[in-house]
Amino acid sequence: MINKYINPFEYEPATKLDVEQVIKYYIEDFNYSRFIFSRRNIFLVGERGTGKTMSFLYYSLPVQYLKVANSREKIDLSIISVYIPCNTPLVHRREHELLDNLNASLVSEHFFVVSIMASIVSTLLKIVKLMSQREEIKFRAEMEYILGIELLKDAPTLQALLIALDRANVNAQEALNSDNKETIYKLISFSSGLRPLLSSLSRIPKLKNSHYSLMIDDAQLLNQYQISALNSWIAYRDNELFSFKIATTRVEAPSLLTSSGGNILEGHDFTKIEMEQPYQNKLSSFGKLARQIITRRLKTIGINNSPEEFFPINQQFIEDIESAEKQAKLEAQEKYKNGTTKQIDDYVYKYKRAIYFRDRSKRANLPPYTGFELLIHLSTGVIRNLLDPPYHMFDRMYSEMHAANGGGTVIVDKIPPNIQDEIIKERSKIKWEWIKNDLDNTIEGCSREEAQRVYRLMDNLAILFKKRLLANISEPRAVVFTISGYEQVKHSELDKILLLSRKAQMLYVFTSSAKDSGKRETYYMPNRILWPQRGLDAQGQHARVSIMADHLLNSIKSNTEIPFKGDEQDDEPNLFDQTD
Amino acid sequence: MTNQISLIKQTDIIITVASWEERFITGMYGLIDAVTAKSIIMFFYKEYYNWSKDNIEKLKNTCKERGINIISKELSFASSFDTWGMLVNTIQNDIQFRDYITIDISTMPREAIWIICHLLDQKGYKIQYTYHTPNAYPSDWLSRDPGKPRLVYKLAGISKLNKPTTLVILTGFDIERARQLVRYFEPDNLLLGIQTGMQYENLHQNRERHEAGFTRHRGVKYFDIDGYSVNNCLLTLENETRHFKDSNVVISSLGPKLSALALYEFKVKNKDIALSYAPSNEYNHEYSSGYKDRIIGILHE
Repeated sequence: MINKYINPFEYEPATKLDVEQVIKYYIEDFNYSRFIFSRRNIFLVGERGTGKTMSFLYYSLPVQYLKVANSREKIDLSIISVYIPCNTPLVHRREHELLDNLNASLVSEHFFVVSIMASIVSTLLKIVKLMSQREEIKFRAEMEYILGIELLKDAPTLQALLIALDRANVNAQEALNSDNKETIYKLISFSSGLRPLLSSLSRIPKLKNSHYSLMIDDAQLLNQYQISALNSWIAYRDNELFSFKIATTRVEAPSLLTSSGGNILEGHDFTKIEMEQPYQNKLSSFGKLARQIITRRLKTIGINNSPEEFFPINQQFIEDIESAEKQAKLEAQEKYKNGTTKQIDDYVYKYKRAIYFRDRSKRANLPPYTGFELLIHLSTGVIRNLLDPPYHMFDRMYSEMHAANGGGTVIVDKIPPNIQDEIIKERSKIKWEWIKNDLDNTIEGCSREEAQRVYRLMDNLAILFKKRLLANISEPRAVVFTISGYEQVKHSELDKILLLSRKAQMLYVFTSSAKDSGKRETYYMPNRILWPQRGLDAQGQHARVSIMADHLLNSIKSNTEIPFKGDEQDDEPNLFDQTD
Repeated sequence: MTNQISLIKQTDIIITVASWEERFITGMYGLIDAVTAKSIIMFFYKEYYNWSKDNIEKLKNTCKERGINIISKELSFASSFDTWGMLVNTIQNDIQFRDYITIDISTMPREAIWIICHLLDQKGYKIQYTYHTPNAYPSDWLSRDPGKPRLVYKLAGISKLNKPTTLVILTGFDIERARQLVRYFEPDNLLLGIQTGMQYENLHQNRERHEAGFTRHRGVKYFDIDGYSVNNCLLTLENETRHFKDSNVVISSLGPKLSALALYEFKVKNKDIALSYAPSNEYNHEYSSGYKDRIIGILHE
């Protein structure tokens, strides 16, 4: 019996969740996140809402501790995962900009190292009976020698170490705040603090085989000196004792330069995991992940319905699609006289939804948007996008039921199709209005003119995709595009608009192999929540549309429609075709 | 709000930031007489020089006619580093010791207010502030294209390790600038100060929009604040933040300009807190209209 209002589709930042919620909500499968629990250097790359922080928090020692406590297993200390957030006021300090390069570098490294050391020590405080008295005396002596300070005698060693680190942190900040250039502060570096700390810890019997997985969240916020220091530590590739797991956005991804001017290399120094997933059908990894997420969330409020039962599809839509399928079959049989079953099935699969949308367009109203599978497609492969419409649907449903029964107990065990449809269209409309009216009030470095250009880009893509959907062409439902004829200098204005669209998370970018040449190619996927408002099929498909850079440029500058040449357009099936 | 001209102290020097707004030039004409200024340090932002140059020239000509020394210095929204350097050099080199200095904050960006107050405080000057209110603000927008929020040089407080972040915003008309700050700092605790009163359709434009706009933010706390009174504002801040002393407090002002002074006072009394500036890259040419009134006061009194 649920009396209290709990919206299971809450999607606030993971740092707002308590430890129990992290355990309850986190899904370990279908997202490569187990790589985090390894001894390799890993980069997690993805925009906000793709689950980077949640993955880190889940594998952090305090969460793992609670998890095994619940299951009465024994904690595995072979890998100790330490969560290190970078979105802190300390990281946001900017006084290094007022210093010469050497001092800027030293003080930046100091703050970063002290933060990491404090996170390690705080994490270790969770381990019960970490050291015997004798071991603690030895560890204390080592730390005092390493840091050149006397730890507080009255405090347990780890607590005393935390206090000392905080003192070192405060001293450096006070020196920076002061205008006394002669102020002396003792700075701690990777070599003088972090590395020796880890070595000392490895001499504690309980930790002698432990590896430290240092999970740096929001690394794009670190300053240039901290980034190059971090890259230098990665370049050591000393993965016996420690490794780094680095979460960063793609749009503002930090440089890969080391302090000595070299580069760290993917595959050689680190492994990269893309957190945004390009394929969103129900059989894809993201589809499976989405199913587990929704199922798990429903269970937290005592609902055992499947996602399909919780988000039923509009009955009329089912019937109309069945009718469109019959029509597609007739067309296929007409086209492939004596064709194979596969030929017929492929045709039906490809065209039945297009036929449905073409017929709907004649009636000039928007089709219903319902069902769990549609929600997966609307997410465009981003977990936060997946949870947004259900969050609002649940709230609406709860409000209606609560009001209807006079404020009594409410159990939401499904969202009727009409509410799903209404909310999806509403969320879609809000996104369009946001792009049109508020982008320049929201996205850093976006002027009014540029906001208008982003709107024009999305608007003209919607127009192109609509024309394609209604036309008798081979790939009518393509909602992914590539750019051809691109020249760096000539198209710099286009670049800026694409970047701002990505910052606004209205456009996602993937790289994949082109089918013909095997060359890596960049694919652009607009956020599919935009399509319901335009009557497009958010379920996407199949092909990418190749658009000339000049045409995109014209669309953003002079609001010129992107030319549609029917089947002459350079569109082709590709990897998306095989998996979406 | 009352005109407190009878309380004004005579000071030789006025520090101001030039603007295209009417209240800048009209307010300055009156202020020169009121404090019997002998010298004016007029900063201007290069990004808005073209809009402001008529008023800059008018003030220069007036000073010339009346034998008042005027120094004009360029600042930059795009480079806070250059702005910092210019403010430090000017205040260190161009001001001989005075007991009181008047700063006109009417059209001075908050970041400049905080740095100037900090630098003057360091030199031991007493600060008299003036604020010229306009007749009206536009009904559509004041500013847009937000820049990245930034902590202010030397006023970033003392951050403690492994502590939650508390963000305190004295809100203004632009809800998106508040959202921008929240997105940037992702605070554990969020306190939103809402301006009291009905001035400039305040209730509709500020309170309702913010309450609607942050409904999804878990644990957001609203409090009423009178940003037009530095002392009341300061007391409210002390009261509202007292439960958050064990966190890293970041504070920003988007509301009435006088609240920026209250924040500075609050910062001086609480050295650990950080002041954050939320820049905008575009201001409405019709940012304000007319000149209505002068508010004056002495900082730290």
